[in-house]
Amino acid sequence: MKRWAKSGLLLAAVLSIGFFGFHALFPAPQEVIRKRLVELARLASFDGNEAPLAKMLNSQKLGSYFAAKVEVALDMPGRGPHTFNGRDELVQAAAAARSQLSSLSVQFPDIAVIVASDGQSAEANVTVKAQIGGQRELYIEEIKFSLEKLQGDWLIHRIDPASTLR
Amino acid sequence: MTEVTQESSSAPWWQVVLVGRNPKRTLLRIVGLILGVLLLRQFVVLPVRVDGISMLPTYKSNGVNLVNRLAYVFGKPQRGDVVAIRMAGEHIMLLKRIIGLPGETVEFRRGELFINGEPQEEVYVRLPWRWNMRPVKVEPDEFYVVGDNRSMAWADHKQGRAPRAKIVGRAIL
Repeated sequence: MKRWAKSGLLLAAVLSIGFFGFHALFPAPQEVIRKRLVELARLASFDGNEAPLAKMLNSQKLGSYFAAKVEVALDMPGRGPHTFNGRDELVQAAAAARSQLSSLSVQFPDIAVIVASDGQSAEANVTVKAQIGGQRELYIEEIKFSLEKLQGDWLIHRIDPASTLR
Repeated sequence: MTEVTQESSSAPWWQVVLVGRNPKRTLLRIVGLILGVLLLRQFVVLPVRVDGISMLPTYKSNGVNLVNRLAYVFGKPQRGDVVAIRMAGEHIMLLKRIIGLPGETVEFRRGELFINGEPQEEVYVRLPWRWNMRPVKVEPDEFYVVGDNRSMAWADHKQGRAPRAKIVGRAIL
């Protein structure tokens, strides 16, 4: 009986390692997208100590998450609706924000990803929690990322407000 | 019974304090407790921290509340209920009061709420302001929600029609 139990435990351990190993090596598109969006939030955040070179590099790196013809429509707090067209404009805006704001914290506490049946496009509804340094007000919105798989990378080609309340 | 007594007497006092007289049983109890709490949180009651001023003075910022997930299993949301509304997930939700039911028309005139053209008394509103909103028809399976703090600027106050599927439950406290 003990031998059976040991064999069973060993089999369960091997299967678990195989299962988690497979998912680590070949993650599902949902996981890949979720991970990229978390990285995006981390890159969009900055503090006051960021060096000028790091500001430039991080803004450029931020651009690598977007398609060249990206369209972004956001309802900016205190500024109303704003749109960005193209990756270059977005990178410039990110660089400008890094110069003008003292710090910015961006988090995506909830990310719900739906991949299309063809596996080449996806939509991610994301709760955005952002705070500008020195301000008490939190910016909390639900936004929708539309992504496309281009040359093996999931790139954002559109961002729209996803109004929780209509 | 005797065995347990013997075991307990042989165990050092610090072990009894840390893991009890029977460590295996203690471990099972801990696992059971954790599972119970997780199941309770997932299916029955969701603890939340209130952040923001839109529900003043009913709910102050940094207050703690509980959301009853089972509140609408056997019934529908009612006018006056304070409900949690999910966004992309449940880590951050909106806490709002239902003022309009499916099929009704909601309107604000100089801060006064009108449902289907009839003025409504709102005892929970202590911070009124002159909000104006054109009549809005609430679609089937939707509820019109708004915060209690009407002294906020209209543009800064999240309010509108919430699909039933987005309502997680009713605030308990």
